[in-house]
Amino acid sequence: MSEVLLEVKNVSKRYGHNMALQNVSFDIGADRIVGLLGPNGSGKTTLIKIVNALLADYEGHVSVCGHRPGKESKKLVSYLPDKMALPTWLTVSEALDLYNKFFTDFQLTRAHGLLDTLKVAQNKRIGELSKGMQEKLMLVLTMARRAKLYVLDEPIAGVDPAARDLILSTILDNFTEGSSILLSTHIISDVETIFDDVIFLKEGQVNLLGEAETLRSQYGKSIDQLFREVFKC
Amino acid sequence: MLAKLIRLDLRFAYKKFLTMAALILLLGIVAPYAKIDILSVGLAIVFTVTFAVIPILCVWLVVQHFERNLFGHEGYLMFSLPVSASQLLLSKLITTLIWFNLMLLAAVGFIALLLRVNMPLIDLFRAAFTWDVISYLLKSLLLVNANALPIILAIFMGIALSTVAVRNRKLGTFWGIATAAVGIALFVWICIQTGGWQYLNVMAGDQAVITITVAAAQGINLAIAAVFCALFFGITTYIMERRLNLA
Repeated sequence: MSEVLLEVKNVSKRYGHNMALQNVSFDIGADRIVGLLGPNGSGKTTLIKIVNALLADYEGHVSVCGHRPGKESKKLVSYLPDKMALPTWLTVSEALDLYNKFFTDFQLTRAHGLLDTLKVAQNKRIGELSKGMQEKLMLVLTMARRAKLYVLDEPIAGVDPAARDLILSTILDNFTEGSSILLSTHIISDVETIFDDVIFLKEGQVNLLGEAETLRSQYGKSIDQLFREVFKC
Repeated sequence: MLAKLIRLDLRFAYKKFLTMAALILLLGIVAPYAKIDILSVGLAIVFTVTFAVIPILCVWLVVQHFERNLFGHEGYLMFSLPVSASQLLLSKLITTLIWFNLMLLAAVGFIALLLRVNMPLIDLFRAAFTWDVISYLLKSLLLVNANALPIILAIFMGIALSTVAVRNRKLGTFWGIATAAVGIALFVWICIQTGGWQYLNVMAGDQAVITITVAAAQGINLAIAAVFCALFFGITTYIMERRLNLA
């Protein structure tokens, strides 16, 4: 098997009496695009926060290229949160400058190119941008890094179908060879073709896990149809 | 990385703190002109209120920045940066000390501006710029900063602790405030207990005894401050590293 970039072993997370994650285990190798799929409240964001060291209080083992989530792993992971994390008084150029200063793998020229492609104004303050533009800016900052692992939390949740294609192509065109993507979403139909592997998360547990193509031929259904079947109310 | 973090932290609130410092100095400039009785009474109230409000505002700004920048939405960015929890905390601490000293400087400037009525500023500066005065002021500044540090860290510890209880934020806030208050009270109480004995000797002893006693009391005070700093810093870093629960 290729190099393991992310190893998640028996991870559980409890919020009070609620189990947000229960014994979640999987690996992600190099050159894979992995869909982390599940409805709202299934534990996707919790798992992503653990991988990015934003939740430290959990049970089990997580390793990013051999590093426990922390200072070293953050050099290797490019993370797109599901909320606006940048201070809104910064200008777009200042946000680029911030990433350029802190991340040695950040490519400023690439970031400028992506901002032009996505038509994000560089001289505006972030607070003056629309929500959609803010999300595009976050995506640019994330994808302009040459990271080993890209962790994208709901990158297409808040955008219209037309913008979805642009966002997906931005992701696919800009991730580095030898790296991998873990992309969480509950909107499957538009993105299922890009996944090499999928992980279905249901009530904090891995419900289904495997190569997307194998699952399609095994069940004779698309990933979207499988998702609807697994998660039907 | 620490220098980069400090620069970033300074940019978050510099406008607000510089405005407050400018306001204090402005008060120092206009105060001597308030010679009409009714106006003087009015201005006295304004000055009192301002001097009560500014420190509260400063503390509030620092608390708000620490809470929002590390445990609010901006925390998703700050904790994604390739820096350690201790660097994040140290950066916040150094930045707060810079603001604290800026406000102290503004307060000293305010007093100097008030004194210009009795003594021209140039004479005041000449009198102040002697080695003895500067050395005394630096020593006092060190002591003030050393005693401010555990208090700032206790507040940071309280905020960090309040975020641990994810499901019950109100309970978390209560424990955060209570722990910070107890930490500060304990620090002040121990300082008073260990520093109080010097006054007996100061009253009774000769100059040499006084000098040695005061130096010993200051040394003990610095040591206590260092112990409390290490304790509060350690607890806060532990929470940020091992018990972090960003909402």
